[in-house]
Amino acid sequence: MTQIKIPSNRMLITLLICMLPVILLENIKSADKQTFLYEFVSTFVGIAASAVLFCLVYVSQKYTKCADVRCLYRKTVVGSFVTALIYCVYFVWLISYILLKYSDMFSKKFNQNASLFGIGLILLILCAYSSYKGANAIARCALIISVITAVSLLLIFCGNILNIDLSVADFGFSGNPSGFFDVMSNTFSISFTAVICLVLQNKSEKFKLRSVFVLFAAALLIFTAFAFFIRFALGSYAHMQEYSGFLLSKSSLLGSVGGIEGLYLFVSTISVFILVSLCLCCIKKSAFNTNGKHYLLFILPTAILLFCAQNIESVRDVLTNQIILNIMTVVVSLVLPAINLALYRRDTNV
Amino acid sequence: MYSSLKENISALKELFANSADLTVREMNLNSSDNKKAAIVTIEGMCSKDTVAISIIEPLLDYKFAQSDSDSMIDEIQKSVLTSSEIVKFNTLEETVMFATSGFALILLDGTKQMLAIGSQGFSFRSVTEPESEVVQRGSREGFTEPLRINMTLIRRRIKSPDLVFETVTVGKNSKTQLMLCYLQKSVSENLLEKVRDRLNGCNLDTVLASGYLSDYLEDNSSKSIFSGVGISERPDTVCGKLTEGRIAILVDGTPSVIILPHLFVEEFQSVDDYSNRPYYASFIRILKYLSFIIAVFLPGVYTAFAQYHPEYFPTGLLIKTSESISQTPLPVTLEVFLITIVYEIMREAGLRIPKPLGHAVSIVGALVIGESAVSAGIISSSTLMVVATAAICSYVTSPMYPTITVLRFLFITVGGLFGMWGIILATAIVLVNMCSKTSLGVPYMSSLAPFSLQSMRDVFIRSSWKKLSKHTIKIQRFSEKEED
Repeated sequence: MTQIKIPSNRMLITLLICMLPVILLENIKSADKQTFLYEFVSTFVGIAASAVLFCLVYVSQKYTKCADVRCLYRKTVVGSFVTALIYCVYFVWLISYILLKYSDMFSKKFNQNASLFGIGLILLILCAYSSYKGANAIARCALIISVITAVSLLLIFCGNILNIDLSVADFGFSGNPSGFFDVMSNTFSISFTAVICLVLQNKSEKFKLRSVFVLFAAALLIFTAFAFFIRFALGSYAHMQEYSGFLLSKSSLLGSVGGIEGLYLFVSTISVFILVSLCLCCIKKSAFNTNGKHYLLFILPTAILLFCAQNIESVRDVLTNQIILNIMTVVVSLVLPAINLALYRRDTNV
Repeated sequence: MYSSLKENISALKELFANSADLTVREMNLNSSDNKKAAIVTIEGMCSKDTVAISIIEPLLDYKFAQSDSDSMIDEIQKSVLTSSEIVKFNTLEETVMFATSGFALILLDGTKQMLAIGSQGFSFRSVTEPESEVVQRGSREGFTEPLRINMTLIRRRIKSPDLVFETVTVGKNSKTQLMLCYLQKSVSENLLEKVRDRLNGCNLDTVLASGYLSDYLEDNSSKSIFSGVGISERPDTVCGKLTEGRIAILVDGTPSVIILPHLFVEEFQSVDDYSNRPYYASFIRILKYLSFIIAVFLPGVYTAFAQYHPEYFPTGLLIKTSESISQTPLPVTLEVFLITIVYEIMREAGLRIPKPLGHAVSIVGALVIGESAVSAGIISSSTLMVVATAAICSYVTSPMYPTITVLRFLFITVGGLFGMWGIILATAIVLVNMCSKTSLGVPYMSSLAPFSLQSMRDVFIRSSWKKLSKHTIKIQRFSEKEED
């Protein structure tokens, strides 16, 4: 199998695009009791934790050269099977999590008659085609999308500049711990990028450590910009509503052109598309390590999960629980490689 | 071949199944034993004057000193004929190849050796300006059908020993001659090897046009609607591409030259860009990209907006559009779909019917289908305007017309079925398809994705010649190792 070669900068932009669904589909109602500085600090802590996790994964991969499932293939059948299974479960979970969030946003804000399962399934099928084309093609596509996304986000922000009202701003540092934890947990969920990077990067890749910092600095910037505009442009209106990113685009006014929520739809759809496609690529790499189409079988459990989530409320609650996702991320990115290294490093002789 | 002239002639006649265009002129040469000879030609392929003046006349006038047939063949080759292209051969395969290529064959009794004399004289179209690639400033010469003339058109522009023409024959029956053309110092040996391999793998019986070879030369041709093979009828365009390390394939009998590898951004470049002032050329370049986007997306987006998101229209436009649409009996999607299909039918009819009838089709199209349908309230004027604008825009990048047409229908369909969401998803799929496409291992979207800042001087804008000439960007720099 030919090793893919995704250059560092391209990988960086692709991962940044993958982070966007978390920012755009965030459904936390901005708590009015906490100040902007308090929210910023909680965002910063969440992102810093993600960056630390990413660095740990990066270091473990770079220096041990045996941090993911691939190094086990040659040595232990049971070990590789169990590890591959855990990775697959994680990615199926992540896909379901993102698709449910997206479908929920779509059905609440764009088409109330839309079925959660229908939207998820269509997106899943298209992502399957995209993943079949390979991670490198998706990464190239992400380059073009990043330009359109950047322009779209700039337009959304620029359209809200006139709405900014700093007269009621409180720049002190106060808030409640639960709000802090909610924001931190939300921002920490971008750490799934570490797992994607871990699976997609092969040993010869040179994803520079500098790129990790650029990636998380850019994420912090986008998170903060959204938080700033939601707080000062939307104000108390944002506290009552879900999906404040959508509200931001709806309240945007560029000259006489208003309501550019189409751009929000574009950015959120396309970023979800890239993320789900990459997750399917990760399933392909981690579970099969071949270029067959067997990995497409994983669409079936994902579709079943989506169907269950549409009909059973508790399933949806579990699948869209950020804390569970974050715990799984830590397990597959740190705990699992650590166990693998402890058990098999001597055997793998690397 | 045989030693006897009679047997050789019989064998040739049998081989060509007594074809009416195979002509044999027998004669007795002026030697001590009045040696029998014959000149074999295929009618229409050779110039009769050349054969009479340069071959028959010298042969009959010359007094041969020797009577040995093999020595006489050498004497004819070295002392008798004045032609610049004389080849000695002795196999049946070569006989067929030379005869069908317009050579006159000299057969002599008592020897297996034969001579092929270049006397091609078939009629062909002269060098004219290509209709599909018209320029305002620049050469008016375009490729024509005969291979040799096309080679000359390139050689005249690149007077360097670096320029190489390499002969390849494809087509089991047609034995079509191709010329691989490249600049030795610029081309990548890896690319060249790939082209040779793919041409060798071509198992077609007949190759009549360059389009026949495209599928064999492309990477996964059936998996993309975009073409990874460039076509040009202009020698100046081909020469420009050769200097960037590309390979041109000239096919005998067609004026369309294949250029490989081919990138997406090249679809928006033309010879005029490099003749005009950089500012104007850049403006035109951006206009072309804009036209491409309008041609592909406008009808689909209009359908999606009108059907699902009328609130996205500006208020004034919304009132007029909804007024216009409400008076028509068909749903917007069907209306846009039908007008686009009718337009495509008219376009195809306009292309195929004899020129004098073309005006009639235009009148029928413009007056009957256009004006009457609108005034009768069958179609809305806004829909007609949208389809017409998209149609005009699609001609700005005419080489991409087939792709644009397919994409337009795709976006109308998804726009009509799923609204803007469908358009966004279809865009994503098309983008992935484009980004996964490669041409001889070079990503089709090179310069954009993979991004190259240096290439940007000739993508959306065209920098001045001073900047462009500083460093020629070779195509092989974009090559990427792909996943299996």
